[in-house]
Amino acid sequence: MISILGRTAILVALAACMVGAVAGLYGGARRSADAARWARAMAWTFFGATLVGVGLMEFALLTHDFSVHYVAEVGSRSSPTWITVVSLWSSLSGSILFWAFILGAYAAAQAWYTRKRYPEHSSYAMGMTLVVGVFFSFLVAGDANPFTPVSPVPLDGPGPNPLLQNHMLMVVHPPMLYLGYVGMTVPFAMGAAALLAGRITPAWSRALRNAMLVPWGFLTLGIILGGWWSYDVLGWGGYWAWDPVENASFLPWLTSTAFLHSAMLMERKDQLKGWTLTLLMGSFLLTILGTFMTRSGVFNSVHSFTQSPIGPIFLTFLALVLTFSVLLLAARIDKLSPPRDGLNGPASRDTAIMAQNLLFAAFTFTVLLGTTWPLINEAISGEKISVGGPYFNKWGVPLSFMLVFLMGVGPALPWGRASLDAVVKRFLVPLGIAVLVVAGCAAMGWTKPWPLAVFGVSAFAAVITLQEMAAPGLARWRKKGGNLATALVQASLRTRRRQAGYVVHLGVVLVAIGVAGSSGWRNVEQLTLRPGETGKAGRYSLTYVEHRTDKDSHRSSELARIHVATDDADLGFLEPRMNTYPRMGSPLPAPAVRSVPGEDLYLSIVKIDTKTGLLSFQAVIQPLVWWIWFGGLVMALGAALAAWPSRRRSTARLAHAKPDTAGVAASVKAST
Amino acid sequence: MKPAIQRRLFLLGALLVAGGALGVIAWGGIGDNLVYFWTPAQVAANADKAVGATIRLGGVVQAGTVHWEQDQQLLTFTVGESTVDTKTPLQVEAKSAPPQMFREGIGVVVEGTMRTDGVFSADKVMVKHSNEYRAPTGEADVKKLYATVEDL
Amino acid sequence: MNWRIVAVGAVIIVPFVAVLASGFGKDPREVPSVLEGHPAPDFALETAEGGQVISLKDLRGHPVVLNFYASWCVPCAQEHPWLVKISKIYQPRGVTFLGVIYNDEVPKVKGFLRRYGQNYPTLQDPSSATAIDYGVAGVPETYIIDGQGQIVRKFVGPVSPEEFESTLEALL
Repeated sequence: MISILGRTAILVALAACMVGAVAGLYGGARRSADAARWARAMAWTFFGATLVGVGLMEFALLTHDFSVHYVAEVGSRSSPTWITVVSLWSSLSGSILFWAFILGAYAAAQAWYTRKRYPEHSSYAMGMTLVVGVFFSFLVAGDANPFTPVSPVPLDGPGPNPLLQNHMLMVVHPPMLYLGYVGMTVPFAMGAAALLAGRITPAWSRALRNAMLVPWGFLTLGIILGGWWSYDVLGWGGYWAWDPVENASFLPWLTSTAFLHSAMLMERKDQLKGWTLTLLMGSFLLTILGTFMTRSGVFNSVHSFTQSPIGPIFLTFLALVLTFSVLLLAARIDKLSPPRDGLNGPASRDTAIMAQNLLFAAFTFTVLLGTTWPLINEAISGEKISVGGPYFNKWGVPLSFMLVFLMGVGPALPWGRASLDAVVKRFLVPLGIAVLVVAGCAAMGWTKPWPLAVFGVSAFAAVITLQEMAAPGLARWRKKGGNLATALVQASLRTRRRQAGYVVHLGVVLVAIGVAGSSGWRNVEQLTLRPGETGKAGRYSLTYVEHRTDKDSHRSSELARIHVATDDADLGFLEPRMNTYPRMGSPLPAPAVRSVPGEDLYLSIVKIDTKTGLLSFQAVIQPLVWWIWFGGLVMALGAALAAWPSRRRSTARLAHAKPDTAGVAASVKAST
Repeated sequence: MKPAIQRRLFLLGALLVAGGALGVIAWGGIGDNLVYFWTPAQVAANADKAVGATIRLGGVVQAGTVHWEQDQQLLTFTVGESTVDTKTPLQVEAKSAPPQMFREGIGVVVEGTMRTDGVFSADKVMVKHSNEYRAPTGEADVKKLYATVEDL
Repeated sequence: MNWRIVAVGAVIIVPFVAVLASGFGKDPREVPSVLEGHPAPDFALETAEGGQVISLKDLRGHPVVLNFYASWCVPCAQEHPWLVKISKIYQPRGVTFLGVIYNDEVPKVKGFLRRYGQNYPTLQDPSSATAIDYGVAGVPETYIIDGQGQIVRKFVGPVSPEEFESTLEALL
């Protein structure tokens, strides 16, 4: 029954996408408001149908209806309810259904947001989004159909992959990542619409950038949460391994971040249009590539699903979108208006953004090459290899260093041209503080060159960012007097988007500090203890108190109770475990972490003898890990602040599309 | 030359130089950081390349070769192509406790490098036992199966 | 049409897609199976009914079919009736069929056998030791072992009927 209903819902979604895609593209080409309305109605239908589909699947999962293929694959009567709910995205076909649903939600949001605006572009954009919708509905209706009936009906299922059952973050990490991935469809469609229409207005540029901010924020959060998940689950004490699937999420993040910056040049100066649109399409293509990497079974990764039949379909889709994008770009790029005169001085924000874009492009290239190299190599020489983390670190670290540096320099530079003297003056204080920070760290014995350099450049960037954030408020306060705090808040509210950008930058600084600290001073100790014995790891003394077995409905765990103390403090107990899932082969360690801003202590069982209690475990001590999660949160917060719609402003801005000069008084002064 | 053309040429040149440099760098960087998937026999066959290179060695732990020095956290064992390998067994030394499922006769993957004394020095010891269960492979296979049953 | 972009695009797209496509059909996780053509690891396991222990050594001289399965596994359930039928043909001709439980509980397996048929013994493998010896990564997996105790063929997933029968015929 559910199989039939589910399939019907998916077919309705497919039909709605097809009709809507045709209507939207027709409406764009003929400027037909009726066709555009049809396209929007179909977007809503698409959303409704996928909502029903997801609802049906959840119902089937919760009622343990094993006649539904997907439930038989991932369901289990012994799983706790929350695991049953989230197992919707724990395996291939369910996650594609979930994916289609998110695309439906985005399409509906797009339909609502553009319903009265941008007549030149909105119909095309709606049509393009639904073209992507056709592909995903087609996938759900065909090869990845999770609703296929199963016969004979099994009595129970195996439950989802235990790696995914092991942690609560499984509830939020994949949806965030999907919201990021799928959301890239909307800016892609809008960019394609600009090319199809052969014109980009400043208003459309701004809408494009806003549309990218939403998925960018989710993607950022998804990547950080993914790092957190692997830190808390995989038991090796790290959060990033340059695994193909991690890279797959990082690649579109790189290009979309570059886009968010070059789009400012496009919006303000009509420059870099071809490049910006290439970045935009590239970001979408990289999300498709990322999905392909995760789902095709072609790449070797801890995250990837088993080999599946949808790989070739995804590759075909990838090739089609790639070809379409290139042809569209080639056909229309010369139609777009020529760039307004540059006036890009060597020490201007324009130049900083261009340099930043080049660095991001280099970063993307390096990661993409390293990720696909095993495939290239096997295709050429037939030898099985993988590319190690050192390669990525070798290029990623200096590139990130330069990017953080530019992040500090860029905002302090004015648009257009600046006098070098004024620029140098602005950097004296931040540079001084950076030198002090480096000297201070060195004095405390932290002398590793790269982490130290990153600390310095982070301090530099943070100081400039804070200066820039305070500048409008300070200028106002000096002019009008009154309460300093009120002036700061009011000026910040008036320049919300700019301030939001700075919040993101501060988040990046926090992450950079966390990554530098945790990778620079990582200390791993191997210990083997009998119950009652005490071992030393760094400044901690670890006493192995006892071990015990916990039985749960879906797993049994062997716990080691370990008392943690330093010379001057009692830090309580940590209980790393070794989980055994009845239907899976080997046991999985679940580490226990004591995380404070200064330093993480991470205990992970290597082996525990259930009879004698003899325990071998790893103690990983890493400073500043906490800063990474916190910084990620700050970045996502900044993105949310920036993307928050403000109707009044956007309509007011449509009237006179002049550059935003409400910001930093000093930079305006310098540019005129 | 017109300034526009000049600028374009300059840009093209800059791009070529940047791209070329990047290619060379990435290429070289990759070559130094490859991880090879080898079996003991392949390590023996590539003895010159193996020293210093990162290798992910897959094989079977040979019976009667496992020693663990608890005080030094030193694990030594021999890995072979199959359960009993007399041709190219390889001595492995790891600075870690044996993982939970580790025992004689089990398939393992160890990551590390060859030392000049012919011992494989491992940083990581993983038991080769996948946690995947195999999901249904689609209706087609099963239908094919039933078709042959009906012939009986 | 801006042909430079088309040209650059083609130069990037074609090799890129070709490389990605070249990865199909290969399992990146697969470490070449060292088992085919090698002696089958020995085992001595108790039957699901209890009481009787079957050891591979005692079965020398005749081909053995070893099928790892579980009650929670859908393809196993789909494959099982076929295996029961085919065993009725080959058992009289001297082939021993054995099932091995993979990460499952005996009562559930008994229910499974009542439902899908039973014609040969099923063995318990409580610690998965035998499954690990054979490198079973998932169920179903089926091994054909010849009279000398060598593994001749390993099927990952449901067996392919044609290959299964031709392999057995070659051994008889």
